[in-house]
Amino acid sequence: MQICDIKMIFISYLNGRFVMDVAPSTRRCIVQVTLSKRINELLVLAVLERGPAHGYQIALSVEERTGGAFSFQHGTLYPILHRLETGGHVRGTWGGEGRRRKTYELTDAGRAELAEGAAQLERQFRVLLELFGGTHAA
Amino acid sequence: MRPEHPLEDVERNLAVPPRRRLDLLEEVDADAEALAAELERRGYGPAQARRAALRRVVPGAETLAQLEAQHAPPLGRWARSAGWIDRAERLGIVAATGLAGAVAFVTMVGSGPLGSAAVLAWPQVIVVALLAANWTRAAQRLWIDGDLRPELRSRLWERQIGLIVLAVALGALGAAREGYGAFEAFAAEDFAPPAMWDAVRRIVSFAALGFGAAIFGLFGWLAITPRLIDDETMERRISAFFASRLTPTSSRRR
Repeated sequence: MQICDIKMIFISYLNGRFVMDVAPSTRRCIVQVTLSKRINELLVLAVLERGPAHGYQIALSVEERTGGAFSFQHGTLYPILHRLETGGHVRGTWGGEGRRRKTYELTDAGRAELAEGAAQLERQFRVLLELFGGTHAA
Repeated sequence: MRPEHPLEDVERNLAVPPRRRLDLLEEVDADAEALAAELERRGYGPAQARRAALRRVVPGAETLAQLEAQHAPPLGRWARSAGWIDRAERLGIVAATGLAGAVAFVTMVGSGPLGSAAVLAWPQVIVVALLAANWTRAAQRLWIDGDLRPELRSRLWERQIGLIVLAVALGALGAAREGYGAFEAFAAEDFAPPAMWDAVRRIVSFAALGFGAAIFGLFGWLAITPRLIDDETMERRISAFFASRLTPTSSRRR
């Protein structure tokens, strides 16, 4: 099974919306997705687990760590960050000399949320892989 | 014509309280600049880096809608979640109509049978209703939408002042008219004490309704003034923010 296939199953299961274009000659997959809130939040929490970061650093880190599979465009990161902040999963603090900059860090509640969310996704993903594994093997 | 900052469009379209707007603008702008610098370090050209950074961090229409839903005042959030957001204005109209009805009832009882006095009494009732509706609109924009822009704010304020002056004028005119009628009757020596007290009551009720409406209008506006002052302060800071950000990013870094 190719990586893009796993990604599509994963995303389509959680999100229900994806567009797939597989060119058989090049085996290239283009996946356009509107990521679910859940995955986005967990991605942000996973990045912040490594340490406090500014918004742009979180966006870059998500992109790098997922090999470009996930990226935040058009400011989509901010509603996620603000929602996590309101929910107490991250703490945003203003700092900077002269110019205000906002830094986010993970709270204990965020750490617990990440552990729980990751475990839940892993369970769901395993079920899917088992379900589709047979089809691909055939 | 001065160049427009990429976030000015966001500022115009984001309907959240100015304090929240400023926070978001500062956060996004700082991130855009830092991200552009980071991309330049990674080999992007300055213009290309800035474009890429802006594309990543400047909120699009869908993101703005999400931010508005998140940063709406608590009453607005409740109204949205309860599906009341479209009904909020109608709720205000019902409240204003109810108030006007109550005033109309008091006026009817106070002015006796419909007659010449009603020519001035009914406009007073309408003015009270308009005052209530005007205030309700301002309050709705502040506490439900969270965003009362300067143009609308000054328009509502001017309307409120106009209505207050009109209420006082109608009250004074009605009281003078009643007073003149009573004076004429007095001059004609056709003025028994009960009639005199009745005339006094009508004069006082006209004047009281006019001044009552004016006080209602003024105090109603006073109640929202602290929030308006805070909003104005934040709007000035937003203007200062854009004024300070007009220098292109690359030249500032040099």
